[in-house]
Amino acid sequence: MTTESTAEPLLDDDPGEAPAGIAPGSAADLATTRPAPTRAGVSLWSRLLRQGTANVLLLAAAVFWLIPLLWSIAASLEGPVQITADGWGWLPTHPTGVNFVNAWNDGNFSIYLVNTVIIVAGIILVQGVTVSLAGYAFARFDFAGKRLLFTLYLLQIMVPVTALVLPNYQTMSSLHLIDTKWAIMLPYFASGFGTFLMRQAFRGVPPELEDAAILDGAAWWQTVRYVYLPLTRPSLAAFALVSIAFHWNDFFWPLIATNSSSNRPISVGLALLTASQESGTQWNLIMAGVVIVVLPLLIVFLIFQRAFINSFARSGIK
Amino acid sequence: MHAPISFGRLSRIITAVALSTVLLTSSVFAARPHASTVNLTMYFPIGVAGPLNSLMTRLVADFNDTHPDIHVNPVFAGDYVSASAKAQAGISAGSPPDVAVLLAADLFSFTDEHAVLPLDKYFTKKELADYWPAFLANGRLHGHIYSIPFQRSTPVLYYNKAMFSAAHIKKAPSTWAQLAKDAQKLTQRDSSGNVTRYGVEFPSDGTVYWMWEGLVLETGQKLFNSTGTKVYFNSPGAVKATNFLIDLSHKYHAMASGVLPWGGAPTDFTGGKVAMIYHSTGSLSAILAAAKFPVGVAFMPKDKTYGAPTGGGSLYVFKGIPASHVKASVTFIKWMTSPVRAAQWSIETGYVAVRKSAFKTHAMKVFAKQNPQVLVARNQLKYAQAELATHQDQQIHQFIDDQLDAAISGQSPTKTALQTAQQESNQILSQFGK
Repeated sequence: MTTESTAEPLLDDDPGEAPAGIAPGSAADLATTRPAPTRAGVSLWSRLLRQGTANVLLLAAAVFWLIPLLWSIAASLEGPVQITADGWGWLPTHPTGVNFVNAWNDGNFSIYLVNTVIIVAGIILVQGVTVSLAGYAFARFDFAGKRLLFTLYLLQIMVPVTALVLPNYQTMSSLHLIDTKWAIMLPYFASGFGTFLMRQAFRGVPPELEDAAILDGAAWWQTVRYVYLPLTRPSLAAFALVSIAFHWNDFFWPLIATNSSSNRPISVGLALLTASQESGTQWNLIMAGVVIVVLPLLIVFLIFQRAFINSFARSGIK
Repeated sequence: MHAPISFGRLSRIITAVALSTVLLTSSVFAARPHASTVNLTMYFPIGVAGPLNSLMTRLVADFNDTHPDIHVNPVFAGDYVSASAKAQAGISAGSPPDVAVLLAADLFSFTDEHAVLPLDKYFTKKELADYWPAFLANGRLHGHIYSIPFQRSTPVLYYNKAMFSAAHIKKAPSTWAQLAKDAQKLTQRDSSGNVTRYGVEFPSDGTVYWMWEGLVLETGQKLFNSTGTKVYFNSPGAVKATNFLIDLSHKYHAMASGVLPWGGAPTDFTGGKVAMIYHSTGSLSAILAAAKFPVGVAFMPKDKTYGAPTGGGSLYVFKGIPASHVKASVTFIKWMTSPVRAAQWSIETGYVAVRKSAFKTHAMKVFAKQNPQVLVARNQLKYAQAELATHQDQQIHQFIDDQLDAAISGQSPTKTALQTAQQESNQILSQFGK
């Protein structure tokens, strides 16, 4: 892996960062950290032009991504006026909060929101430990069957989650965990994708740093905690983002694995509003539900945005 | 350039939240109600928009209050497909629910796994005769009845009476030819020739096979055999029905072309974008509530005969539960489909009341006086038949839905598309004998 980075010795990012495809990171890469062959002769104008073009393109992409969100918010505020294929504009004509009240009650969101936070936080905490340790083992230890085991981890990424619903259900059933939050969380405590990501990140850390730490008398877990993890925050952050978003939205497995409202997440609440196979769709209500589901995650991201982006930007090994 | 909240602090917050997780979830093994009462688990899907979850919770609470020795725990299970998957997961782990509302047409998925109990022996002949035969049909197999109708619907033709009188059309069309003619008349164009209002809309995304089966039945053609081993997708009747749909758009220019969304049809109708729609009785309440014009409901127009499929969910009881649970489940089913409850469920949801005597209850008589539309659906049941039900029905439904979409959107000629669906289905169904 390190051989590839010789072309750009200043690009200190480990090669394992890319796969997550996180928009802020990759966009920043494209726009700034690739100054291109700036020989002395290249004029300021062409640089400005290039940056301007990049900004316009990024802005267009951002607007494109925003459209559904803005539409959801607008529709959720619309009064009893019908939303038809082409008969409804962008601004609510009869703004009202009644959809939110109805969605909140029909969708049982007060309980589900708390459950979701507990489930997602529980998964991400355990995953943080398991993927770092597994990634460390794959990156730095030699043991019999390592390649085979790692291949199996990679294969796990390729198995669609829905294919595992039945076996997982049977396992949870035999553990008597059906209809508990554990049943939702347990199958996700390990992650092939996270392990792969952390292994790649750890391999990008110069072994000399670990050797130095060992010379100073650090135990293996101390090198992981104080040498490896601080240097691989971007990968961990990327994984956390992907994982949080996935489990926040995950619907099918929680629906199958739990029965009681006291254990079910927010996605099930949303489904209470959207299931309308045999009748027309109530867009206003559904969009109010969507906003309720999306908003907490959006707020959390906005609050921690700086922290996330900084962790990407500061990935340098000093 | 210090971040307002550092990454380290973030991870500490996550840790704190997660630790409280562990503490909270340790109380998961909550105590179950008394040992003397029979505890039943019932899975139910939601098929129509509206606060169905709270209605179901209320209904079941009424049952529990009046039956101290039985406690039913209603469990929301998503839409029909995920409810079926949830039941299957339970079956595979040896812990099925006791009762479930599942797609009536999914019968074979459960009988093939020997997962459901025949229920006819718990009902008298007189009781069974009170359910509409068209609704019972999807539960019948080998002389037994495996499911009792609960939330059942059937498609009808909705029409805008104001537009009809403005166009001097006296009554709803009763034949295909009349429908095409009226729809043409009701289609409006602006000065430059763009359509501002279509005459009719037959939604065709998602489970288009359902209403399409109605058209096929109207040609006098059945769509499948009673043991679920044969389908007749490439029959002349099926071809004729499909071509009729395509003609509405491309010959009569009275319907938007292409695949039209199911969920948008009722709002197109109440928004005055279209004069007539084919849709489920399940949307009746929503349409009546939203429409600012008199709404007419009519039979699906006939070709050779009237015809319509039935749809929706029935109550199943699962094998492998204790005898006391079976008994309690039957008590529950009889209560849920009693005339008074069937009428209540119908009035509050838009589903057709599943029993004849439900229409003799006071509540239904009052409701039908204000909403005579509900009686049209009831009268059409005389011509209605079972929904397309075969072994591995979800796959078969997928085959025919995909090919119908291909034909409607013009990607392949009708005959080729239906032939493909037929061949794909034959391959699956050939394993299930004659």
